[in-house]
Amino acid sequence: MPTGFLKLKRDLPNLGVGLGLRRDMAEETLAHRAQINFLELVPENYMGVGGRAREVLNDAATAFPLISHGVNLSIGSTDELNFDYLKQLKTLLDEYNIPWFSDHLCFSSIEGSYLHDLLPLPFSRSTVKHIVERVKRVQDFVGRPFLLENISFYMYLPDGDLTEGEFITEILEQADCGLLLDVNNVYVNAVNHGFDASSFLDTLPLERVVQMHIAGHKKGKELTIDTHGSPIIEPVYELLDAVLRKTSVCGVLLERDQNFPEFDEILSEISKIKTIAQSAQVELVRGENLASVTH
Amino acid sequence: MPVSLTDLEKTLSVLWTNESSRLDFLKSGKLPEAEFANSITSTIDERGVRTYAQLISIGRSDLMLSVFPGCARLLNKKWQETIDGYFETCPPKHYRLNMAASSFSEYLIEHCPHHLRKFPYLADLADYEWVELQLMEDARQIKVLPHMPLSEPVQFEKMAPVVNPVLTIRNYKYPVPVIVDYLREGQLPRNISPRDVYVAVYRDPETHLGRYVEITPGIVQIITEAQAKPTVYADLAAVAIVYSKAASAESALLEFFEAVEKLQSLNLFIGSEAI
Repeated sequence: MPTGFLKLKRDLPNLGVGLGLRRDMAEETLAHRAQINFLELVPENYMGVGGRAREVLNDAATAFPLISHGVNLSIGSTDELNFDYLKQLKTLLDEYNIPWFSDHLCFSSIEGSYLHDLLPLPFSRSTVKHIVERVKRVQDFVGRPFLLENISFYMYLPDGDLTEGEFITEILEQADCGLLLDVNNVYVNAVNHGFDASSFLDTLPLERVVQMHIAGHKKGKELTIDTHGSPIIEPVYELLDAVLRKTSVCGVLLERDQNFPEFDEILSEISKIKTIAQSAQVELVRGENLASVTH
Repeated sequence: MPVSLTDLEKTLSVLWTNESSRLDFLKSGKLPEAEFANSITSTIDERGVRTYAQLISIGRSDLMLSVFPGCARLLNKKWQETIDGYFETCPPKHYRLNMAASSFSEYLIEHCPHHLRKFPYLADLADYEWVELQLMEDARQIKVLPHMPLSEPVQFEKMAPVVNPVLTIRNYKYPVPVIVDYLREGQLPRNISPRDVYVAVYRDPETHLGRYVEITPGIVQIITEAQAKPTVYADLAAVAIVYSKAASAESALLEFFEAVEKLQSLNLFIGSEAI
C-alpha cells in the first residue's frame, strides 16, 4: 500500500507531454494548444515580475496546465534556506494552482551569492542528511508535492561515499519527495563519466518519478554539455522509452532553451515523445495487468 | 578528516568564479582555503573546475548582454573582461538572475575609469539600460483611464492627470536618448558632447516595452508634482508658468496645454481622474 509521497503521486493529474515556456518561443507555444499538453515555467522569471512576461504567463494559464521548475532554491547550499524566495514561490504556485513544483539536486548559491549554474554536490551521507532536512522544510512550507531533478555534472566532488544512484535514492526516500528524472542528464553523465545509462536507471527509485525531462546536448572537445540547444538524439529517446516501460509518470517535458529552431521541429519532437510515451505506457499497463493476474 | 560541505562549496565557488584563484590552482594545485586544502587538492578535478568556470561565465555573459546590449557594443572586445571583473566585485545577491545586473553602472564609475575616458557616457548608458529592464519587469499594473478635455474650465479645476505608475525620471550628464538611438540603428554614437538632460523612462501600457523621452526641467516639475499627489491641471499649470521661459503667462499656459497633450499621447499621463 503506497504511503506518503507515493500516495500523493497517485492523485496527481496526468498532464501528457509539455514544453518549457520560453520568451523566444512564447507566441508560437501559445498558438499550439492542440499539440502541447502543458507548460513548465521557471518561477524566478515571474516572482515579483509584471509587464509583458506576466501577461504571457496569464495567457498561458488560460490555455494550459502549468508546472513550476525552479533554478535557485539551492537545496544543497549550506546557506540558510531563503524564506523570502519560498514565500514568493508559494504565492506564485497558489496563484496559478500549480499541482507540483520542482528544482535541482544541486547548489546554486553560497554565502548569499548566486552562481548562475546548477552545481554538483558530494555524494556523501552527510550531504544526504543536510538535504533531507531542507527538503522537508521546503515541502512543509510550500504545501505542494516537491520533486528534485537529477542534474548533469562535470566533476565528482571530494569525500563522496555513495554512488549517484544511492545518493539520489536516499534523499528521495528519507525526505519522501518525488523525482524529476532528466534522461538527457543521465545520458550526458554516462558519456562524461563512463558508465552505462540503462544500468544507472535501475539504481533509481523509479516509482517516485512524477515528471521527466528530455532535451538535446552538445558534444564538446573534452565533455558533452547539457545545453538544451540541439535536437534530441536517439539514445536519449531510448532512455525515455525504457523508463516509461517501468513506471507511470504524470508528464514528460521537452526542454529547449537556446539555438531555437523552426517551431515545426519542436512540434515534431513533441509528437515523437507522445508516440513513445503512449506505446511504453500501454506496455506498462499490460505488464502490470499480467502481474496482477499471475499473483 | 572530511571537509565540511560549507568549506567545499565556498572553495569551489571561488575556484569557479575567481580567475586568479583558479589560475593558481591550475598552475600549482594551491587552493584558496588553506586550512583543509592539502587533504582535498589532489581530488579536485581540474577539467571540472575549468568547465564550471566557463559555464558560469557564459551564463553571466548571456545575461549581461541581454540587459546591456549598448554597453556591450561599445566595449566590444573589452566586454567580457569587464563583466568578469564586475561579477568578482559585485557577486549576484538575488535569486532573480536579472537582478545581478543592478550595480553595473556604479561599478563602471568606481572601477573602470579607463572605459569612461574612452566612452564618458558609458555609465549613463548602463544606468538607462538597467532602468529600462527594471521598468519592463515592474510588477505594477498600468490601468489606462480616459483623458478629459481641458477646454472646460470646470474640468481644468477639478481633474488631475494620472501618471503612468511605471515611470522614472533620470538626470544624465550626456544625451542618452541620442546615444540609444544611434546604437539601435546599429551605429556607434558620434559627436556626443556632455549635456545635462532629463529623461523619462517608462513602460508603454499597450506594448509593455520600455520607452524613453527627453523632457525639459519644466516637464520634470509637472510630472514630479503629479506623481507626488493627485494635482489638478490648474495647479500644474501654475507650476508650469513658474518654470516657463515664455514671454507671458498666456504663452506659458499654451505651452502647458501642448505639454499635457504630448504627455498624454506618449502615455506618460495615462488618463484623468476627478479630485
